[in-house]
Amino acid sequence: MALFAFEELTFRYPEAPRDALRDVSVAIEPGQFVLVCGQSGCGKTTLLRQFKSALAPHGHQSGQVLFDGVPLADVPEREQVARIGFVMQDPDAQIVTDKVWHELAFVLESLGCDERTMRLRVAEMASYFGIQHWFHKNVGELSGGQKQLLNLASVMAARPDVLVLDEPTSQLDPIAASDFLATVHRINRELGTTVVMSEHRLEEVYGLADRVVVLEEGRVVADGEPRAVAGQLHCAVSPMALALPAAARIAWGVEGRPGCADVEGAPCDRPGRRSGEGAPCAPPARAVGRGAPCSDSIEVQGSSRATDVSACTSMNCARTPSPLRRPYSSIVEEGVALQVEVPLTVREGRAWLAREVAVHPPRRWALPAGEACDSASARVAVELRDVWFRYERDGADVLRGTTLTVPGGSLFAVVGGNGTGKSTMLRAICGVARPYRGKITVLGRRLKEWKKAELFRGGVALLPQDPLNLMVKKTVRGDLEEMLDGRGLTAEQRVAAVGEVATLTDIVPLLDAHPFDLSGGEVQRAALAKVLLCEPRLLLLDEPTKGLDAFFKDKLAALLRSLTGRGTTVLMVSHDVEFCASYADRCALFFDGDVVTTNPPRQFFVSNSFYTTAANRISRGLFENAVTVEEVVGLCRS
Amino acid sequence: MSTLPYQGRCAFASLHPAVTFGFFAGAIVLSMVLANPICQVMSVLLAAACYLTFRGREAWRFIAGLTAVLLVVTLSAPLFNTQGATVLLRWWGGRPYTLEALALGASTGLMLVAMMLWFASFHLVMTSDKFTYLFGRAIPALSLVLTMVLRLVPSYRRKADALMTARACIGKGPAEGASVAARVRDGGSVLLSLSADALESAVVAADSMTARGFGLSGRTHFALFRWEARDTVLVVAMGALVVGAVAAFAQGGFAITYFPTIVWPSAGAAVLMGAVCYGAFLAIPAVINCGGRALWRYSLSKS
Repeated sequence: MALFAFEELTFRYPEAPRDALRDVSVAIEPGQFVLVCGQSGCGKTTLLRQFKSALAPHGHQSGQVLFDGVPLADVPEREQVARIGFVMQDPDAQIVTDKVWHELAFVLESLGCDERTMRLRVAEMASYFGIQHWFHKNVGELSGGQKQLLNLASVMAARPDVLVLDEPTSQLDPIAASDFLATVHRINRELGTTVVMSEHRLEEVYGLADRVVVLEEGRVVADGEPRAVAGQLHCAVSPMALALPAAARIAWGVEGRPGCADVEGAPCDRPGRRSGEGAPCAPPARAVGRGAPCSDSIEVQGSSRATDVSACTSMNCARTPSPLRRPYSSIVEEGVALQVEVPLTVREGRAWLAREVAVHPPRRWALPAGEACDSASARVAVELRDVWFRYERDGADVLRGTTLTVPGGSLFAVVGGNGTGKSTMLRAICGVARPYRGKITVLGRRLKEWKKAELFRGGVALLPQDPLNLMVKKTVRGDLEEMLDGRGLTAEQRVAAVGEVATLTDIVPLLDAHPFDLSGGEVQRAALAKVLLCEPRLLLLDEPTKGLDAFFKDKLAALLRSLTGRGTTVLMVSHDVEFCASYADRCALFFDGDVVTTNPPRQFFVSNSFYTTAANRISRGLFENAVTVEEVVGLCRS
Repeated sequence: MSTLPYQGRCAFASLHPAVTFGFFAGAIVLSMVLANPICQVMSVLLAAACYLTFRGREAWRFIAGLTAVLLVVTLSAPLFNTQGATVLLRWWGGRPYTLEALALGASTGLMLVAMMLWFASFHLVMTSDKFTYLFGRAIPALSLVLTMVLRLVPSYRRKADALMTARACIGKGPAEGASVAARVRDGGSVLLSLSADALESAVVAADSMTARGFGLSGRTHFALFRWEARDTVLVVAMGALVVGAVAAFAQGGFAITYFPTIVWPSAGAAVLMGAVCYGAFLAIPAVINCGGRALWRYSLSKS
């Protein structure tokens, strides 16, 4: 019997024009790892909240939700608390108490456990999740990743049967996010806990899940084994296909639409593929239950490139959990032969690509490396020289001799780990963090010589990491108009200015909404509109793609392109290597308060082996200088 | 919330919260009641010693500041109080500046400084979790509210900082607001946004609490603290010392009058015993902290 069964669930928020969920029928078996994905606003959160009566939103509902065969509403609250765990999106707001150990015990206190049990469970949780080193800390001292891990641990303390996670990694940086995902996967594997998780960043989690449910406008449009669902999304040209792992996108890019051809029984245009068996568009029923990609039917092809693959750095491959306990080299060789389906992880992607180039050797193996950075650029937008800064007198230096030159009119990306001082550097360029040593030149003038009023009108503007921090009025329009105060504009001019920037950022329908009611992507664009009203010649962006889905990222990229086209310089700080690789003109690596290297993106990512794009990790050793999915596809087809 | 520098010099902080709280309650109440200069000097010195053992070198700045407070209070007291027989000098048209008033001022100053020192140590040792542990059983709802407040106040402050920084980076910072009216309007909108944000996170927190069963009947309390044998020993010792000091006080051994002239109580054996008990009681944290360090060195040298 299914652990959770949704039977034709339809839900509509009060006074909403359309259903938030429509005819959702999903049955979740015990022990499954279910990934729920879809574009922003597709109903993911609404669906996940139906897993727990206490969180289910109010509204009109038909159909039913069964938990262990019993309607969820009839399951006593105490049992729901103990058996259904829920982790939300915001790491900070979910934490209730002020101490880590107290937070871990919170659910046990609610359930009325005695002290001995609590002591044991808290100890168990702290040990299992590696919390013991910060067990006594105040929650305010924790990093975002630690906070979210604490939320997970404090939910797991009740030993739930089902763990429901609503975009748990959207506020985390990539390293913390992959740690978190690994922990969730470990819970699923080691404890057999059923996991239902929604995500928009699919690169990593897609390979971990054993079932994927795709929502579109409140409907389930695909449901099944990840490979099959990936095929369906691809065939349907769904916008979600853009968010799929790089390995899958490369495979499809090269093969056109293989899955669809197979289903229709059309002859394969490329020899060497075992049609039929690997049809990604096969109905889910067939796909579910099929084993891991490396099954035991082995057909080793004598491939000259295969040896190259086995020589690949083992980190790339070890990143994905191995379904097999066999020597690494044999896995790769088998993988070369066994890639009959769409690859999902970097490891599978490498094996697939090795087979592909062995069967169809491309004409070109390398892309031009591109010219090195010529520092003697015509116009320099920002120059930092030996900048030192710290927040507190006795604190550690955050900027340690930072030296950076940003050429005018470029889209310049700074990548690097958390807490290395990237955001502080942006604040220093704004003059908000004042360095105690060093020189900052902005738009041809020393920062000290700029008057504040001039600097922020037509000079510099910063979009902060949390764009909601900029929104202080009741409507988006009010927030935008605030920027025009004190400029002596007439009413018509103000309306025109707001209209222009709203059109540019595509937020015209949102102008009268409250900023808190907007989705992550929408608030990002609204805040960007506000920042653009400063008419900056130097636009600073702090993690502009955080929390955005693939679709919005493309929109943002187009917008940034149009800005740089008009001569605006964009300096952005980001964790999103894929975004930087695709759109930046220059990339710099920031570490320990200083810029380590600056290069055009291709050179930059090719010379990194960890801090680089999935496409680069897949093609490393086979192709030279390929960084994006499109480039790898282009080389394969040459 | 300030945190203790490191565990080694804070053996006293590792005692059971009830014992810790009992000590500070006793020390603070007795320092107020025993207004005898000798008791007050002991209280100040031992409170300073206690604070020093907790904070180490960083304590000196605070202590230096308190010395200044003591001087100011002492020297300025005769300016407002002209009672007393022994006139030291006359000022401002013959107003007397008397020795007795000076002595009373010193006594007030000492009490003030002793209070501040004890409260400083109290604040270091009695962390929020100990406090809620002690009073949570009596008033469960209040203790959770207190825990949440302790978490929310710093988080609002951080949020306010983030808002101000974000605005400063688009030229809307407080420094740029030309007129006072504009600044007030600006601050108002930031405050509004802050409260909207607080409401938003309160909704999430409430969801998170109900999801984890807050409101179910039969809620229990979890704490990390355990009552050890040394806690019992200390409670007995502390009780005996307090009884000794209070007995001497009850006999009037510590009574002192300042006006018109200073009259000291006659020093009997009971008074002496009381003073010794009082001193021993107040020395407990400093002794335990130093003892803790000595114990650590000793056990280290043996291994």
